Amino acid sequence: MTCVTIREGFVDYLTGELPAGDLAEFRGHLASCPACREELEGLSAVWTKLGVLPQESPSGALRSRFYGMLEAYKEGLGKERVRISLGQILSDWLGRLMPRRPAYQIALALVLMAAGLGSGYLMSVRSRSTARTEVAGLRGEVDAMRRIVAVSLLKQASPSERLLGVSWSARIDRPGEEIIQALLDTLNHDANVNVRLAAVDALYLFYNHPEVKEGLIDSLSRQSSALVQMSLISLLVEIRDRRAVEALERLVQDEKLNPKVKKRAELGLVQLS
Amino acid sequence: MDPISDNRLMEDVRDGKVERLAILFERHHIMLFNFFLRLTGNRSVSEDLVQDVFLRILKYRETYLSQSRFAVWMYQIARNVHVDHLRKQKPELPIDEQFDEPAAAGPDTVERLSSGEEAATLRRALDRLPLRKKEILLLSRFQGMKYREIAELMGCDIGSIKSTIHRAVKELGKIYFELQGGETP
Amino acid sequence: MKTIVRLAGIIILLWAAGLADNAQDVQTDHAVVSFSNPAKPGTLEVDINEGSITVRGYEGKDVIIDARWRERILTKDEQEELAALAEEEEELDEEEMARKRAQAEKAKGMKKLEVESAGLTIEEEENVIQVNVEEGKRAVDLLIQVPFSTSLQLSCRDDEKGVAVDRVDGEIEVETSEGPIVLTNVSGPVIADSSDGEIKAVFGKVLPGKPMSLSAMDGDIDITLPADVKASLKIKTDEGQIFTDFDIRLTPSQQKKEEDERKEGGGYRVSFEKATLGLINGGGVEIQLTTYEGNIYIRKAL
Repeated sequence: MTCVTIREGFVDYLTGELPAGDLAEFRGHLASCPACREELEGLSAVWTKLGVLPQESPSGALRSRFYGMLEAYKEGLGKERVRISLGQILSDWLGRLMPRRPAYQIALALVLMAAGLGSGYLMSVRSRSTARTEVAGLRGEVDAMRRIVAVSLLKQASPSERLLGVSWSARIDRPGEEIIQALLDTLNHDANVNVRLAAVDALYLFYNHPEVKEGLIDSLSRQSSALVQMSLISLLVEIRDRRAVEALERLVQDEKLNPKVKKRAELGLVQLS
Repeated sequence: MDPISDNRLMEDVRDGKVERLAILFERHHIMLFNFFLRLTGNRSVSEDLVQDVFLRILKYRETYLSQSRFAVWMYQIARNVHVDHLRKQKPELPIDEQFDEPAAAGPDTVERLSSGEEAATLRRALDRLPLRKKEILLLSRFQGMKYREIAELMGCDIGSIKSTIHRAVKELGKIYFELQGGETP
Repeated sequence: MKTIVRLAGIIILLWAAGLADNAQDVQTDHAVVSFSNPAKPGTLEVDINEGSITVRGYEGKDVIIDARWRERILTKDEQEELAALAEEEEELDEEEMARKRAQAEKAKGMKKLEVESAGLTIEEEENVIQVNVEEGKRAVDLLIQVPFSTSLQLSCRDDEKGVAVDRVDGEIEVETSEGPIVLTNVSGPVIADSSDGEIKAVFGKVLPGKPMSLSAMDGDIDITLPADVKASLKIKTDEGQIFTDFDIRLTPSQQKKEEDERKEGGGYRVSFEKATLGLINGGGVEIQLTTYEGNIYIRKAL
């Protein structure tokens, strides 16, 4: 291979697209050609050095805005037979209100909508298409969005995103069956202790929901982490559900139980009697 | 891990199941954010641009043809979004594919992103690279695109993509070296 | 020792098992593994029982694994010798026994292991590298170098030496049972828990957006944050104390909040937080710290 041909292959080599068959010849040339070698080393050094650039994370607002937009778009599809694009609706009335850079105004409106603060604006948009102005309807919109976000986050591979999912769930005003079940599943099956701990806290907020109390009591026997057990016990004692007594008694008899947890469980039994 | 392919998901979105866009969002938004961040140096602008991309994906979902990979289509949109953003900043300048001026260094650029002298110097060096070289370099080095795909995305031939990458890496090295205080070899 | 060959791209997988000289009785292994797509940040997952895990970020794009086995594995010959020795013991007289025992002394420090080979299995698929110890109870100390942007999922269940991570920018998920967790020059998000060990984390920077959570059953939690970090802390501890040199007012939140909207068709909601809340620089990233007995230290980076 000539130097010219080799140099044409430099970029392939860097990006890993050099065919495996050519690799041996490629290396062979480099071994005996200092000029080419030096050139490649220079390029390779820069290519590798680019790895120093860290992967940055966007702020939480980005996700809120996206889901807000998605939900609004879906709603728009449902309400109108004629397809009006979201951008069109918003930029129309936004253009009237704030005739400046439209793209950022859309972004702002969506942020407001996502935060549930833009009720006035949202309602006026809706009153163009329908005549409804119920506050409860609006809360349902925000809830619906949060539900989609929460469920999606709880399925992610990253435990931090699942934590975020639990925290979104906690902010839903009226969680339905789906969310409660998702939280209980997380409590019982999530691989990460921290996520399960957060799920306990979130479920506490909804303890009046029919399945929650039973779910929490049932979960006690399934947990192996001492921290989660402690948290569950404290919670069950606070709720003062006497059905918890049986579960606590069974727990106390478990030989493998962490002695500190046992102490807390025994205390709990006293408090509940 | 969701095994459904990007392509399939986008086809679903095109055909009406728009909520599936959420999965595509979760898969791609971080990489997209970083792409814009390395182009603009500004976090909040980058977030806005990511949002614009997904807005356009929804708006133009019916034009999606599954011939190319979803990511290729998405980055095509991303480039357009970025160009539109630049246009808004400097309306007088004609923007075309041969746009070779270095990216604008506005007051918000080079925000304090992350520590590390090397990373900071690298970022400054990248900033000085002409736009087209920078885009192609980023798509290849960070977004994992093959030349064929970048060529398709940008509407030119594979040969010119490869040579652009070659020159971009070389030039970046030179700028980086200069910024570090060395002499041009 | 499985490898998965990729369709495109070049994998550099060198598997060199080296036996150090007998005097040291230490076996080391070395492997270099590539991600399918080195352009994108990858994930490293390590799951071991006995042993320690040390991970360090470096400039390259491959993952370099060095393993140091704490016990030397017996060769087949040595295993057979020991087995034969056990059989013979029944029939020998004292003198013979003494001699055989002296021979056995030479093999001192070696325990007979039930397994043929207990090495590392390393698999790579779609930018996730998984490292496990094969069936068997060999303790191993791992030193792994990864590209800075890698995310980590590390699990070390049964050992005192624990986990250490330095200069890694990706998401870090760690769990240990007894050993300490020490993270330095990280940026998170960090999700860590330890049953008996302590957790120490020094953040070079903290990015907004993703929440973090650290929990320790018995140990202390000690974190150092950049002075200008924007964070919302939620701290729960049963018997530990909280120390900080940040200028934040920690407010215990013991309020019971009741909302009764049943008349409007809404719900009845009670929220009861038993945590201590604190905002640093106005609040931002959610950081949850939970201990049972251990103290919690929140330090400002100098």
